[in-house]
Amino acid sequence: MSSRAFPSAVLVFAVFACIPPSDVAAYCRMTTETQAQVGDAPCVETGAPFFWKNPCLSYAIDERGSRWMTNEEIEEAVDLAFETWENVDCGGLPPNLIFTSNGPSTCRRPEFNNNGNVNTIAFLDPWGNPCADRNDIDYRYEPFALAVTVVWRNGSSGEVFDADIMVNDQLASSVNAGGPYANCPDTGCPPGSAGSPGPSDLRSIVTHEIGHFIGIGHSNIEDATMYAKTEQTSVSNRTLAQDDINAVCDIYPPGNLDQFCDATPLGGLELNCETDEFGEPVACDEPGSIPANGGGCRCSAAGGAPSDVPWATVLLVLIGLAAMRRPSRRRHT
Amino acid sequence: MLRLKSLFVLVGSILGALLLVSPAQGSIVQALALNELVLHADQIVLGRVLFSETFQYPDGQFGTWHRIQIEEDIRGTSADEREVIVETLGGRIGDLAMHVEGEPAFSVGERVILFMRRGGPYTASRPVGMGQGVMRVRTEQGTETVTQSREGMLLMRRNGRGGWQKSVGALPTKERLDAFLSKVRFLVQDGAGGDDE
Repeated sequence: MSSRAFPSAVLVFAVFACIPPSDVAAYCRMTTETQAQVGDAPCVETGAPFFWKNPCLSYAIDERGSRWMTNEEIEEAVDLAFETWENVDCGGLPPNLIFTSNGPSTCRRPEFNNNGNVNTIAFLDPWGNPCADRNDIDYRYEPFALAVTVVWRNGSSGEVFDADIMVNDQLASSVNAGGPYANCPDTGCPPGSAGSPGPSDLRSIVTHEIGHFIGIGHSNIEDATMYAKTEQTSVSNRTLAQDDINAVCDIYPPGNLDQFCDATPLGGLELNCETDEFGEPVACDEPGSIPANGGGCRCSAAGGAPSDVPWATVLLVLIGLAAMRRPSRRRHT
Repeated sequence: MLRLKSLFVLVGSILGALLLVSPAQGSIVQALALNELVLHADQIVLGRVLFSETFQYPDGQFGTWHRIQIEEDIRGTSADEREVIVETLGGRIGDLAMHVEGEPAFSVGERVILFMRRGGPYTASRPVGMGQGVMRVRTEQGTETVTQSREGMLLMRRNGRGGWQKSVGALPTKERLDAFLSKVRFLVQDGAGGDDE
């Protein structure tokens, strides 16, 4: 290689070396950082990352289900979504992550207390304050959100105690004659039309929310489940991309958990969060007792980590400038 | 010739580097265009965050009140109102925290443009569209710019065929503060209707 071509070659190498191949980890982790994200960095890089100390986990679907789907349809979609994360191949072994269904729950509240808990998956209508009347305007939950995952955690260490997935069952009910969600066929959801929108694939939505459930933030890899797909009529979010697999394998590397592990939630299992020990309804102004001991995301460091991006940008620009200046000096000598 | 090649490679390298800083998205929220943010906002202010304080709702969930000192009222603030409280879901009390991906965070001292809707009988005003209703003001090389807060959100929008499609939201790239405020004031005066994303 001639000396004249060398700077350009270095530059080309630097550029391509910094572009992540499809299997380079670029996911983010949710962290304890509560300050606003500043700048264009894809991930919040400060704070402790979220994690489950005992990743032998259970979940339960609220027995009142959705008014748009049968309980059997919901159960099928949710179970398959959890299995998708649990059955990932981490180099020939599964991640150290077990999910067990507890059967139906009676719990539409995202809560954590020391009288027993359940990681509940509930469809809310009214969406918002479950204690409010359906016709009350109460915007505790964002009316434009399809689903939110509420994670209860240790304030400083990031250890997750409980996670609840709330799905907006009131969403656009006036325009979705068939409902906003469905178990779509493998070929994709029916597209609908402008006046009569088609449904979204419930399994895809829940698969994405389970990513948050286990502490994964979002990814800047476009084919990842933890990224936005371009067409949500598709069912592609059901299938994890290599970046999602890297995330779950890095956070929960293969271990010794099996299907017989103890999946009891912290504080014990309580499938009914709406009645007290005497079977009386818990009033909306009587929360469970909060234990005394108790966003954002952090990029993974593997490969071309997004946390390195600002420096990569600076480095590339400097190399480029050096390449431009060098021939000029030569001509003057 | 070499200089031209180097320039080409330099431009390529910058574009390559920019590819690495594509914005990230997370929780699933319907994207709102700027006119929709204005339309759904009862109150729009430019202000500075004074402090944040977490409390517990009667049903056990956590919420956080952020006190904002008003610098400029754009919509909905009475003349004698100098501060406004905006509420977000989640927060930390002692060593227990409740986290909701997509809810905006605030830093004390930062300047923001807030699009807020009044809460119901149980809540205070909330940002419209979770983090979409928070525009952060930054000063870069003497120029004040605004960027939309979109951390933790996956913004989606119905396309012409009724399906969901990824959306860039109301403010895809940073804008000059004065230009953005002019646009918002115009939409407020115009009645902020329509559906023109």
